[in-house]
Amino acid sequence: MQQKLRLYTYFRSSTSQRIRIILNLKEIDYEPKFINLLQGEHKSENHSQELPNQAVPALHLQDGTILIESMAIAEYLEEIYPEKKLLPQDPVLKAKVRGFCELINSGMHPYQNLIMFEWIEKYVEKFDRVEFVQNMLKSEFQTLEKLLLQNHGKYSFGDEITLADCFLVPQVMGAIARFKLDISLFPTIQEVYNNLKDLPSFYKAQPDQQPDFK
Amino acid sequence: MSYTLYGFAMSSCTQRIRSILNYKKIPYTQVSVNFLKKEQMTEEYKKIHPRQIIPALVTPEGHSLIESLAIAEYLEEVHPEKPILPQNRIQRAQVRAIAEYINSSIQTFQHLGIQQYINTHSEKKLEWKDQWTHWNMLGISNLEKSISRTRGRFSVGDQLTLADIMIYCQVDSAMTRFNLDFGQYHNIMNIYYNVNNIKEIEQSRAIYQKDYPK
Repeated sequence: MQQKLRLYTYFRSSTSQRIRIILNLKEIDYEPKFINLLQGEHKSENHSQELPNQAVPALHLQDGTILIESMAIAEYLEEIYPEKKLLPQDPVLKAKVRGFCELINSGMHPYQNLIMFEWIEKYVEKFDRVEFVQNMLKSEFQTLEKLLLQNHGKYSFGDEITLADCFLVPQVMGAIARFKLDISLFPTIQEVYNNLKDLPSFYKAQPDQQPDFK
Repeated sequence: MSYTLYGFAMSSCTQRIRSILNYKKIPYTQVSVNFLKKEQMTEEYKKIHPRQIIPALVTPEGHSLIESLAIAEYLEEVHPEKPILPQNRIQRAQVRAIAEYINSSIQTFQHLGIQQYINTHSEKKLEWKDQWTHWNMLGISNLEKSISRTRGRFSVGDQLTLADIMIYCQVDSAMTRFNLDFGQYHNIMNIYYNVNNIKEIEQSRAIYQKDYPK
C-alpha cells in the first residue's frame, strides 16, 4: 500500500528547512509530520521507528523506505525529480556547488547541534552558546563570502538556483535569528540572501511560515 | 598532467581521497601540507583552498576542488570505472547518508578548535583524546546499528562503496592516532577488515605516507 511522501520536520531545524525548500522548488507534494525537538520528541520511543537516527529531517518514501541526512536526501530528490535541476551539468561547477553545501553541512552546522551544546556544558559552567557559535563560524562565513564573490550571479552560483542556495538561506536565517549574525559584514552573502529569501519556495519553507511554528 | 592532492598523512579526510584515487587507479601526485606545523597558513595555499584546510584536489585542467565528499562525487562522475556508488537510487542515498553522518557528526566534532574553546573557558581541562573517544564511540555505535539494516558483505549491500571507504578511514585514523578500540562493534570491524583486504585502499593508510611523522 503506497503512502504519501512524508517529511519529518521541526520548524526551526535548518536541516529540515533545506529539504522543505527543495520540495517546494521541485513542486513535490508531501505530508509534513512535526517533531518537537525542544520537547525531546525525537528521542522518544514513539518515534524510534520513524526517526532511525533520532533526528530530523527524515523522508519517508511512498513504499515506506526511510531516508536520512539532508545532503543524502537532497541528492536523492535531485535524481528522482530531475525537472527543475538544482545541480549544474558541468562536473567542476557541480563539485563547487556540492563543496559549498558541504562547508555548511559539515563545516558550520554541527557547531550549532544540540548534542554538541549539551556535551560542552559538561565542561564549561557558564557556557554561552551564542558566543561559541559566533566564534566557531566567523571564519566559515568569511569563506562563504569569498566563494560567493567568485561565483555569484543573482544567486550563489550564477543566475540559476542550486542546492547551494537551499543550504545558504537556512544557515544565514538561523544565524541572524539565533546567533546575532551581522550580515552586513558579508555584503555578497547579504545580496544573494536577499535575492532568495522572498522567493515563494524559500519563503514558504521558513520557520515562521510552518504550521508547527511557536 | 595528473591530479595534485594537497593533504597530510594524519588527515583522515585526505586518506579518503587517496583511497578513491588509488582504488580507481587515477594518477596523482601528493603535496604535503603539514597542519601540525601550520603549513596550510601560507598565501600560496590560500589560493588553492580559501579556508586553508585540507584536502584540496587540483584537476589536470587546473581546477581546485574542496570538501572530500564533493571531491569524491566528482571523481565518481568523471572516472566511472571501479564505481564507489551503487546504481540503485535508494542504496545511493543510504551510502551518502553514512558518508554524511561520518563527515558531519563524527569528524567535525574532533576539531582541535573545540578543545581549545573548552580549555580557555573552563577549569576542567579536556584532553583531545577524550574528545575523540567520546564522538567516535558515539558515532561508531550509531553506525553499528544503522548498517546492520543495510549491510551485506559491505555496509550497503555486497559491493564496496564510498560508505565503506568513509568507515575505514574514520576507524583507521582513530585507531592509529589514539589507539581507540572498536572491537565491540562487530559490523563495523567486519567492514573494516573487508576494506583492509583491498590492497589499493590499505596502501592509502597514514603510516605508508612519506610525510607520516616519525
